[in-house]
Amino acid sequence: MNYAEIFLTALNSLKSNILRTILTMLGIIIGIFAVTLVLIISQGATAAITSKISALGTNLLYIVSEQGINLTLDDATAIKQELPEIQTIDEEVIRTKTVSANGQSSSYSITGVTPAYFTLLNLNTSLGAFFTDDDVTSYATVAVIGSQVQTDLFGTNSNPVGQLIQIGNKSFYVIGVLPSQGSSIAGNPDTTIFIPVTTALSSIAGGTTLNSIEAYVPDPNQIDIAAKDVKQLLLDRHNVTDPQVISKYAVFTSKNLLATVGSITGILSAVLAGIAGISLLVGGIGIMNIMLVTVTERTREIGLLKAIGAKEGNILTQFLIEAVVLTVSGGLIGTLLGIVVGLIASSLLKVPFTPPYLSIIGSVIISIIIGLVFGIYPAKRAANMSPIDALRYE
Amino acid sequence: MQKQKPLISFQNIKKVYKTGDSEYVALKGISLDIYSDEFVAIMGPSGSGKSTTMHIMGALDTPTDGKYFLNGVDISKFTSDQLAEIRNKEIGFVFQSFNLLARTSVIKNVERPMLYGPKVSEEQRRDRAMEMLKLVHLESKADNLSNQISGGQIQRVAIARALVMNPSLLLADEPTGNLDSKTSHEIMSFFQYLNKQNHTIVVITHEPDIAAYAKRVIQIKDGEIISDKKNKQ
Ligand SMILES: Nc1ncnc2c1ncn2[C@@H]1O[C@H](COP(=O)(O)OP(=O)(O)O)[C@@H](O)[C@H]1O
Ligand SMILES: [Mg+2]
Repeated sequence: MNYAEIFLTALNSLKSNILRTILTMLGIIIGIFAVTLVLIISQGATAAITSKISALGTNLLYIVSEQGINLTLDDATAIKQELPEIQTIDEEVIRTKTVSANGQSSSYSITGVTPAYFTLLNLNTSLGAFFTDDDVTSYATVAVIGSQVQTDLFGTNSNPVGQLIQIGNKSFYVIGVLPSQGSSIAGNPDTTIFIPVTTALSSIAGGTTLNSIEAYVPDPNQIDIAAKDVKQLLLDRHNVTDPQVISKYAVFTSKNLLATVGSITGILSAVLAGIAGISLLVGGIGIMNIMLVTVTERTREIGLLKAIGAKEGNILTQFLIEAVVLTVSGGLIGTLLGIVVGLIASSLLKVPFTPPYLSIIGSVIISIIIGLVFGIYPAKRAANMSPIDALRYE
Repeated sequence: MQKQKPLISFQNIKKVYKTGDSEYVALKGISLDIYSDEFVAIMGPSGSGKSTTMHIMGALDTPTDGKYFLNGVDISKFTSDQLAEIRNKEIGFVFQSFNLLARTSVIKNVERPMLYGPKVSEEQRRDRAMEMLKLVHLESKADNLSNQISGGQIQRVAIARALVMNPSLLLADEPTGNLDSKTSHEIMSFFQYLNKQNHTIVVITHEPDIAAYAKRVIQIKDGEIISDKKNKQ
């Protein structure tokens, strides 16, 4: 029998009841849409995170405070003095505080750093200058503000250098402004106020615990050794004996951060596949349901087709093709919607968009399989109908 | 003249319907021969077994007992696919209602049996279907949808489709059951015309004035033949 003709017949019968056709496809559309969208976003996010981690270079160590290892300024000094492979070091403490100036007030991330921070991240000011090591030792009340902070508190084309801002209950002089950067894994510098780490500890955070320390290792080949040495030094300095803390504590390098991202992506993909599987199963059952209703409704038609010579195989093929046309159209609509929404979401989230070619091909193949798997039962039912029962059906 | 082989030969055909525990004997042993070029009406009251006879004759169903020779071949034990092939090649059906595929053009309806037979090109299919539509004077309605034509026209399209495979037998079950009397007589006159063109026709009806168009009338009652007469022409 002629497949092109069966295909047209299938399209025709789907077209004749558009609303039902779309409702039938809904499960598949939503399933494939969700998968495509999450795939696009997770791909984009992974690419963005990967590129940002890579941009940090292969020379940096990230040392973070954890239960049992509360990093202090003394730890930072010790790391720099005792480990020859480490050259520059920056200490950080981060808090969120209400900041007011100029009659405006808003909440920002207050980050205590050393001048090394600006050098390590290759930053420049658009106005004014960064604070110096002397400012750090003298607990100076000076601040370098992000571009968004500048706009919020002082206006777009303002020059806030020399102005006073109130952080908590302390006043700081603005000495520099950063150009707009966009957010990164290290947070969003545009909405951040940088102050000397010493001042941050004493008057903003209170206490001596740092959030993190960043260390610069000039020779990238030494980075893994440096990470091990830093860990050992910190375990010794903090007298850690709990074997769980010892095995869990990690000093991060861009290399092992990338590996972490990779494993997160892996977990995400598995979860995604699970969600996809469930929603497509639901979609498939929906298709089977409606196909069964269709077969019953078209009993007379099946009887007529049998009377004019349609064999069981012809009827089976016709209904299977209808099911596959249904699922593939649903899959394509879902993919298309996923791409459109994915494009919008990518641009809103500022992550790169990569056309998901693999997922397009994948959804077509999966849709065909769903159509065949869930269409076979209703199609068999139609094919096996006895012609006289079908003709007598009212 | 009756020496030639019959087109249809029923030999003690029985049909028993089983519903649950109960059995219903719809045909109690029917024997009859129908020859090529005949025009036969099968008559009888409702429930007498006319449609059952027609379903077996049309290879839509198989008898519970007895033999059915079509063109000399016993098809009473054929498989469903073999029967489908017989229906496609040898039988043309016209039903009382639901004759055409909904939302499908008239010509596509007529072409449809050719899709289930030996492969024919699209062009040949269309040409052949058009030829049949000309025969029933409906070539102007070829591209109309099946719900855009009248009841009488639907039956004519059904006849065109029934003839498209050039079958040995044209089988019509109450073909005028849904038509007004004027249209009914037009359709029956058309069957007469087709019979003169050497088409073998069997019409099932319970109306005597419809049966009057046939050359031979077989009366069935309670699953048995009670009379088999030639009509005076
Ligand atoms: N599938 C079936 N199951 C049970 N009984 C049936 C079935 N088909 C027909 N019958 C019964 O067989 C008898 C003959 O039916 P049918 O051949 O349709 O009669 P007619 O066409 O003369 O009205 C009726 O009594 C009917 O109820
Ligand atoms: Mg009947």
